Amino acid sequence: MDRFDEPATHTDDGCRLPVGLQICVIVPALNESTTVGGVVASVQQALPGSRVVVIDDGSTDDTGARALEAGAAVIPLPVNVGIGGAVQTGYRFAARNGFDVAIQIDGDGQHDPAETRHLLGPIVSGEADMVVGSRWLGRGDYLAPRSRRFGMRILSALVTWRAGATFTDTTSGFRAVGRTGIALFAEHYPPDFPEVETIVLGRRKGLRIVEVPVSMSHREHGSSSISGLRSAYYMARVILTLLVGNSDWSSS
Amino acid sequence: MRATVLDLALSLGFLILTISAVRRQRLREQQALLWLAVSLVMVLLSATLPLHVLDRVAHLVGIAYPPDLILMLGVLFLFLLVFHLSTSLARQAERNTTLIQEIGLLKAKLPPDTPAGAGRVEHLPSHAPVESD
Repeated sequence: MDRFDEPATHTDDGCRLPVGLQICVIVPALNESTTVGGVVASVQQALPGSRVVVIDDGSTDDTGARALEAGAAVIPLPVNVGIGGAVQTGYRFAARNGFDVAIQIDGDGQHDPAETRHLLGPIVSGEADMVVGSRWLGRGDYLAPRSRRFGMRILSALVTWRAGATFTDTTSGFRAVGRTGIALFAEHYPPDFPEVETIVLGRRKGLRIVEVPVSMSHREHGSSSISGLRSAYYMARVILTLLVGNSDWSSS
Repeated sequence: MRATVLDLALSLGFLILTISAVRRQRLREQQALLWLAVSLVMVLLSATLPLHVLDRVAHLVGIAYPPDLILMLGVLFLFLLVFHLSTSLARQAERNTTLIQEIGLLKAKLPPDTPAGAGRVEHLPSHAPVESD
């Protein structure tokens, strides 16, 4: 009866997409002019007919122009609002334009657009409201530095505890969300550590969340927003947020 | 006596500063009231310095050295004020984010070869609750 108590893992490969399903692919991008065009093109190849929306989070290069050239819709944010605010803009776009599914994919080429189909499976079949692509479920050969893996393990344990179900890859920004989730995230979206916190928030609001295995490559260009000494600071803040936060963010 | 005069002069100066800021609309109502109250308390305290009111109150709450009472209340006041500013800042940042997002959505650009109806870009009124205070 209560599927929330089962491990939140889903291994179904591929799926047939229903005709007329409106898919919005949300691509947050900050100064990714060298990679964003390729990401947009390969998303369109993987999901023909989907609407790719690049949220240009105040880039100082021509990320927006490159994305538009590649055939994406572009939402130019006049100043940088950070990853949470940028992704939420995508959810607002999806909610107001009546999309059935929103897919989140990073603009730096780390996620393989061909694998979006794995994310769609459980949503199309009605088994889940939100699907998270996990690096740690066996597909691909992604290996993070040991220190980072240690941090991810701590986060995973914390989220598993707060969310009441097992999650292996809490920092993954490779996700698919159905209509209920789109409506929720358009209004409530954590600004600081969205990947980690949305899992807890989603569970609190009754979303059925599952993980599916995906492969991830190392970043093609640029550097992760989390590096060096900052990662310790990052961990401290995430842990604080997970421990004392009420995981309920209003958007106004 | 000289200390009282100096103190009174400073307090009155602060009161005048506050009133002129309010007149030039540099302070909003809520803050204006707060600062007016603060300057009036300061004037009152310095005016009553010769009456040893402070010493009696300090004695009443068990503070041996009366100026410590002022210091303690001052620090407490500043602490609360900074905390209030900190929370207002967070609220402002949240509102800014919402505004930036809405501007981005209004300026959304579609690729030139978009077939009619694809993506269905239309801007419905925001459902974001409007907060007023």
